[in-house]
Amino acid sequence: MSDLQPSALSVVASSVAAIPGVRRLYPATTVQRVRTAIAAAAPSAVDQVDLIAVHDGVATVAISVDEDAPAPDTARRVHDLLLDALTAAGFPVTEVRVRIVQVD
Amino acid sequence: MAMTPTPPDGDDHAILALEPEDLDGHTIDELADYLDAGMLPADPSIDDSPACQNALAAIVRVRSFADDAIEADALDDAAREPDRGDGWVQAIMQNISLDAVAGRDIPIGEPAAPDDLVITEGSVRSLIRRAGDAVEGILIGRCSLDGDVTVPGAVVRVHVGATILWGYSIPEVTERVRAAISHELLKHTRLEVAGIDIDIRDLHVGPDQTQGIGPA
Repeated sequence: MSDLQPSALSVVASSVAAIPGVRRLYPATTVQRVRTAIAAAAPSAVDQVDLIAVHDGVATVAISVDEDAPAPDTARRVHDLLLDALTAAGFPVTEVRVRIVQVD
Repeated sequence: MAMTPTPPDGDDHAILALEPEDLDGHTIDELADYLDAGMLPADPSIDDSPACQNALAAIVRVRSFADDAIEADALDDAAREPDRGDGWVQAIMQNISLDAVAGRDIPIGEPAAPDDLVITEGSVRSLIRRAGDAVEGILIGRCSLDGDVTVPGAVVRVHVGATILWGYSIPEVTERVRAAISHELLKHTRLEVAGIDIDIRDLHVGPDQTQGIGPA
């Protein structure tokens, strides 16, 4: 569960998805099998909010990137946008972690 | 018809240790079935799993290779009967599972903040597999990254095991594979790659290529 309001994170998630080179966002949880179990038990419990996780000032996002663009460049753009967007929304984050989980 | 009876990559211990949770709760044959069903009805536990998505992409490429080399049914049989032990197709399908697992986080950002930007080892292995599979006449069986990839600047070696089709020059094909992998790693990672080792573990002869092979 995130510390932030769902609507704010959904807007930021949409902005991240629109960055050139980003193919899609994956659920940000670091333990996928936990999410899988949740999805199997209660599919409605899994929604857009899970795409960005913010805990104790650390924001985390997992993305798939386009193979045509260098992954580090895309990750950097995502990092900078997330930092700016969350800060602008009034949510101070001390760290942003971008995890590329697929190059598609 | 495979020319060599040995498993492609000598990773028997790893294959035997494979568990369904390695693919976020799914087995490789479940993914093959999902693909056969047109990925319908949608299963979020597969659609939202990067490991499953990487594995599905690899299965599609194996099947494409199979169109050139073997009957597609053999692939499905191998996936459904993992204990049958009948060679390279089974091993490749199982290796897809192993390679798709997320694994270690590889830094791709600034050395001062190595945790900020990372790419998963599983996605890099999938990248390597795809680059190799794109070269005509070869199919990647297994790949691994040797070295501490979690440390920026650490030297690593890439090891790839592969099956080659009869009629292709091994030196020429492996050089193209090496170049393709190197290009992708330079583009998408910050890894210091000391070398790319390619082992041709299997030579595959297509059904229409067997004439003339063997004693006269």
